Amino acid sequence: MLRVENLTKRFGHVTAISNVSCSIRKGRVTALLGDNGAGKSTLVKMICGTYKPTQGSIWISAKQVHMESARDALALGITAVYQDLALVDQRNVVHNISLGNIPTKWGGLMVDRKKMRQTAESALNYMNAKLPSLDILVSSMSGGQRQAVAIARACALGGQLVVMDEPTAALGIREQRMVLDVVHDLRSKGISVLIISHNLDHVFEVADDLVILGGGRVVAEVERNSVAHDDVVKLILAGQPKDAETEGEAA
Amino acid sequence: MAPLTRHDMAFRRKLAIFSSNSRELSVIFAALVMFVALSFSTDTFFTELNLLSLLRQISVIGIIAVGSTFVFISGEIDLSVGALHGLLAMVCAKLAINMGIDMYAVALVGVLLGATLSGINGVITTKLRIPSFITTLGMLSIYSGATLVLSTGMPISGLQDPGFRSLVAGRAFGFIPAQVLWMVAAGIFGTYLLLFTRFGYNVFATGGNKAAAKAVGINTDRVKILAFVCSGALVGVSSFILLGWFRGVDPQTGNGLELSVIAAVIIGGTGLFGGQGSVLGTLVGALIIGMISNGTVLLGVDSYYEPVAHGAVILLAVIIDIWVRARR
Repeated sequence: MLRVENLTKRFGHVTAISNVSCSIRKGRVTALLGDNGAGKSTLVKMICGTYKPTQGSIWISAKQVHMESARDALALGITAVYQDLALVDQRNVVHNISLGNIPTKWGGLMVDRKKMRQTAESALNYMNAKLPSLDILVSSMSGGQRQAVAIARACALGGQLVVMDEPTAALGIREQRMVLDVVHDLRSKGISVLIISHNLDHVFEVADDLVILGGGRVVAEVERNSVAHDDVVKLILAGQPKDAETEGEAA
Repeated sequence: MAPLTRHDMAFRRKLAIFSSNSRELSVIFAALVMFVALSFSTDTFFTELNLLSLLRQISVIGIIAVGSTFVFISGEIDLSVGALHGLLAMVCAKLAINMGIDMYAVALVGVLLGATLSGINGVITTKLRIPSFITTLGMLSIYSGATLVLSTGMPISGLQDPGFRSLVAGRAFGFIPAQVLWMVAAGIFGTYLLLFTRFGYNVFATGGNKAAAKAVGINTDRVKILAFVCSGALVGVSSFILLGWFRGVDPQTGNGLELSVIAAVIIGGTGLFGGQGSVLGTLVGALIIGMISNGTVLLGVDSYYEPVAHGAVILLAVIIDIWVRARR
């Protein structure tokens, strides 16, 4: 579905990722693993159009794409749930779920509030998430509820690839279960998911494929069924910078 | 998340709606308290003549403040609106009085020029990444200087266009000052843009969390530039109303007006750091500013205290804004 070829990103003299090539297959959940500083977030930000690659290319369905911004990524069907959730605290649930995709009527003259509300309701129902009100400000919600809103927005945008950066971090057990169920559900609908997580139990529950980064490079790209939990830990540890070449490259 | 009953959900929904409107309600309540206090403490405040005069006095500030509300909600500030108001009024006066150009065409030029100049503020702020505080402070000086250059320091007067004057400064239904209707129209248009269009929603999103807005594909630079354009266009409207009202312009017109405008916006509940606010709150804020000015005159307070009161009210509004944010 999506393939990155020899992707490199430099910030000044610092190389965050170097010659990374990997694939995210259609209708499968790919986990992006690696220790802190491995280059996971940088890679995700290039896939989501936030960063422009210094070198390399991104291919979607065998066609090379050039993304200048997150808007371009959205147009290509790539939606993201960021680690900081990217919510507007002073706005309510309905607006946050439709953020960047406000429906209009009468030739764009009026916001279609009814449709906005329906979109929010169906996205939250899809996730089986219960919120006290759709009119409540996001600032007054719990961490789990905020996560639900962020994921609901990604679902509402209806892309073909949903990118989730640490979606279960800082959540209670109940909310973690909800997120994992959503990942399963997205896959069952044929939607690809790229998930970054430090929680290997969660990864092993939902992922089909694993891409392990270390020091800004791909250490391994394997199917989850072909490796054991401990092997993955070893690969992550093996990917940490050891020599002069990799030291200082990872950001 | 514990399951909630239907009754709980309904109650929480009402509570959420109430709390999101509470700042607006607080401002309206404050205005009502001032209104009642002035009505009882002076003989002349609660008279038709004074109230209509008060509304007319705040019309220019109100119209400009509606536009500034967009800029503030988008997370920026515009210190140049007073100077721009003076410059546009002077340009309109030059064109209409000195050059004899039709006043309706001149009014259109005023609006377009205002939108363009403010749009330039937006472009400099967003594309060159210069804080709007600095950009518009510089522009304030440029506009003030340009007004003096254009006028050679002399006032221009003698606008002869009774039809236009009646439209912008006459009496509707025999008693309502036209300026007030223009302010109401600006308020309705501003409310429509802010609450009922995609642009308005994006203004809130951009001011509330610029990074989040960018992450979902909103062109935050364009949103901010358009907010400045709206502001400038309304400054243009205020300029031709002023010209029609006074039949001329003084080179000092607009000096210090930005402080009253900022006061109206902040008092009206628009956050100093963007992401929240309303046109209705701003107009009530303008009314409070107007009542402070009107009240100091009617109560016989030395007029030197008027700016002191304005400043104190701005500080109070900002302290409340920061306090409310800290409590969230």
